[in-house]
Amino acid sequence: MEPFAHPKHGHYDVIGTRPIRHDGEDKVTGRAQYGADVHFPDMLHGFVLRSPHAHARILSLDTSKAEAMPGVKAVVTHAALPPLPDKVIATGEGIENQKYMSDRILASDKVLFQGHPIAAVAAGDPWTAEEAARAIAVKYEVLPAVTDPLAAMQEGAPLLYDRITTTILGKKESQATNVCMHTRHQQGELEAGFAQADEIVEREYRTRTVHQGYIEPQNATALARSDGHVTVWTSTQGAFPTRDQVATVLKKELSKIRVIPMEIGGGFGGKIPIYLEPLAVLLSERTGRPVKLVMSRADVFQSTGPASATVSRIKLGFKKDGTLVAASAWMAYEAGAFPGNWGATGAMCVLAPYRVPNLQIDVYDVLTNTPKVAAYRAPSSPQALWGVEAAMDEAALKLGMDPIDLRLKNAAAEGDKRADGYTWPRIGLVETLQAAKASAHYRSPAPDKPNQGRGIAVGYWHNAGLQSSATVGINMDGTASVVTGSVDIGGSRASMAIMAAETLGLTAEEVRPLVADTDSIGHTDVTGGSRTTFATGYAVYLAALDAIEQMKKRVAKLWNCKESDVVFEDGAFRSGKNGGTPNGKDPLTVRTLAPQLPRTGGPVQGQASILPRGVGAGFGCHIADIEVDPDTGKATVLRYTAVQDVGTAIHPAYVEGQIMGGAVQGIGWALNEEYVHNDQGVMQNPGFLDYRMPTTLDVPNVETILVEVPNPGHPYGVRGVGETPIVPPLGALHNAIARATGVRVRELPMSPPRVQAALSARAAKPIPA
Amino acid sequence: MVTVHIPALLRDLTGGAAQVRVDVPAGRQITVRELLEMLEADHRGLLESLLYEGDILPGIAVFIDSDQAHLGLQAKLGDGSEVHFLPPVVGG
Repeated sequence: MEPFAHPKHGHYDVIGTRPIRHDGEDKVTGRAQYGADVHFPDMLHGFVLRSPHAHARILSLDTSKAEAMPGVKAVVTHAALPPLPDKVIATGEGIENQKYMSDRILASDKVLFQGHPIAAVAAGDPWTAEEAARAIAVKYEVLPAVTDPLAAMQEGAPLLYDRITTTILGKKESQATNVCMHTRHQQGELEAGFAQADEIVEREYRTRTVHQGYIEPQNATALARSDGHVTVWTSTQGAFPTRDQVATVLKKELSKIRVIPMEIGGGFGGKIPIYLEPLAVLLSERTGRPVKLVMSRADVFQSTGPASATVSRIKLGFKKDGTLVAASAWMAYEAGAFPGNWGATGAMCVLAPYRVPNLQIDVYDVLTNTPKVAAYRAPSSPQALWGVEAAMDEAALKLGMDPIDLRLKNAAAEGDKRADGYTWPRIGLVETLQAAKASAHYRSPAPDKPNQGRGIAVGYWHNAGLQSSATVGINMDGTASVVTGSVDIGGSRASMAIMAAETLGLTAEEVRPLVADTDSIGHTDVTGGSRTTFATGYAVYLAALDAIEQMKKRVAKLWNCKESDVVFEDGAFRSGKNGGTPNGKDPLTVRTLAPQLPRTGGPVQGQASILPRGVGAGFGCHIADIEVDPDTGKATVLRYTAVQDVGTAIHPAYVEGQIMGGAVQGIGWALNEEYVHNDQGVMQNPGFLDYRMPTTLDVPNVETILVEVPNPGHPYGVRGVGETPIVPPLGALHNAIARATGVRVRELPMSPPRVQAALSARAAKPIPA
Repeated sequence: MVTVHIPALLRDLTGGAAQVRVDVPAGRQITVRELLEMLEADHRGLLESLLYEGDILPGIAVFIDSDQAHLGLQAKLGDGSEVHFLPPVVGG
């Protein structure tokens, strides 16, 4: 594929402007329709009975009392699900065994985590449904539970399955274990590399389970018709992947399922797996009426996929001049109750920002009695990179180097190899680090009062491509409509309109963007992986070009010239022969041509469906100033700056918003957020009062600096933006706290009790930073 | 010549070699499947380790010259191609 040259980079007409989002009024007035707003006159309400135990055998399940209750219309258990083969499939979001997908939706013989669904009830109102569900009699044999990945790896740990063994690519070991997958990358000679090192930093780091914390809980409404067709209204990051998963779990043809994506109140990766959708369909099939299910906040915490808890052992070796000569990483990722491969993604990320000639990375996915983990914004990268960034900071202190200079010395650039052997195309890590070093924040004196400090860290996310479809319709007044299958989570309607407008020579306001359902557009993968502006935007660009090609034919008819003589430049159709028009009149624009479409051949609609190559990776560098209260251990963020290579900022305000949002989620992960389980594996803090996410009172304004190194793989130079910014805060805040206090808290979150304990330990015995 | 990067945990099948080079006759292209079949002759077990029900393992993608080859086993390789077997990139 020939790289795009981007001659207009920095000088576009519409790209880089900040129009008001097309869906803005509906959002701020409350007219936008979310899943919980779906209502039908004859609608039933569902409730899901969930396991109170983290690990137990189901000895018996009696639904008769619930079914006999007045107002109850249907009860379903695992017996209602079709048997599925013991077969691994790619789900578009990692891999999943079909049998386990079914067991995850409704438990069969065992419950594997607290909150594991056991039965679902439909009734005329939600209270009756809940009362009936609680009347279902379940006898359990409670089993020992394990929620910590390191504990689950130990010999003698409770086994979740009798027959799961470690998978190493296609090879399987023979012994049953909770370690479901092992991934390794290796380059050079590790021992020889460390032997060259003048300074070695070797540390262990831990993170706890954290949740995406989207505002809107999962929900689903289904209407099954007697002809076998079902419609599902849901809050999802991808209508098509939801349809695929529902079809797999319920063994249905795709054409019999229509998924209508409602507006979405956040997802961050957590709304890619299905949870309620098959239950709503099953209950609707049994009643012939629409059935709606909505999770509570506790359900969301206890039953949907959070991000992995991890343990990582990082070892970095440097020459005196700061050259990184060897590195190793050993990491264990919580998989939750069903096998997965998120650790493999961590393995891809852990050393990605740096050139390392000698390395070994070993990562293990470990089954635990917790919900199956799901993607969370740059999934697996924050847990992997924060330990490396902490070790880099220790090395910078040992080597007497500026921490940005140490990273610049080792920064990966075009042509370098990533740890897994992938060769970097054009990336902007060096430019990002240079911009961070030149920033007003970094050039300002570091806060130097007692217990104040500054830390920096780097973040990386590769970004995804995947499949996208789009149509661009030309209205007869010269305005246009853009239809895509990408759910709008972070302002993609505006981005799509801007790219279409740039291509067609219109304004963003003249283009109306629409998100379509699965019956209305070609397959489109999830809004996730920071892929939507890249891939769906690419499809919009191609669809607009398709419309332009069709319009050239009409212009040729009007000008009575060859189609090949018509060009489209600077937003106007011109004659390629003389740069003007054959008849000396003004060049035609989309605006002036459109009214003439009916008499020149009818409507024009461009379309494109793509699976693009040329994904551009994203790198960021964050700078954090903090102050620690030595009495309580509370860290207060004084100033925060996020620098990121964004390729081309299509709508800079939404790019900045993505970066701010990612940074704030990372700050929460670093300082406060964690699942707290008791020794039976029961979550103790399933609500926002006790699961402490940052509020506006906890974070300062996040300053953003957009570095624009255009991606040669995209016509407008787009790189994914949304995920990278969650990665650096963990390391940046750790490093800031270390430089402020002289102690390194190597377990996240660095919550007040944990920091205070470290400060107390320092008081007892000084620990060198 | 096609260069195949062997996943680290399968290097016991290649005598520890991280890369294996395969001659491709000048002017000819081979598919990834043909490449793996050629490798299997000298490195028994590679096919079994990388395939699942006749296709590339779920959770593994073929990368050619650092770009994901969506055709997988049917993707064509020419002289100078580099092949990796890596997890496909997804995200949140």
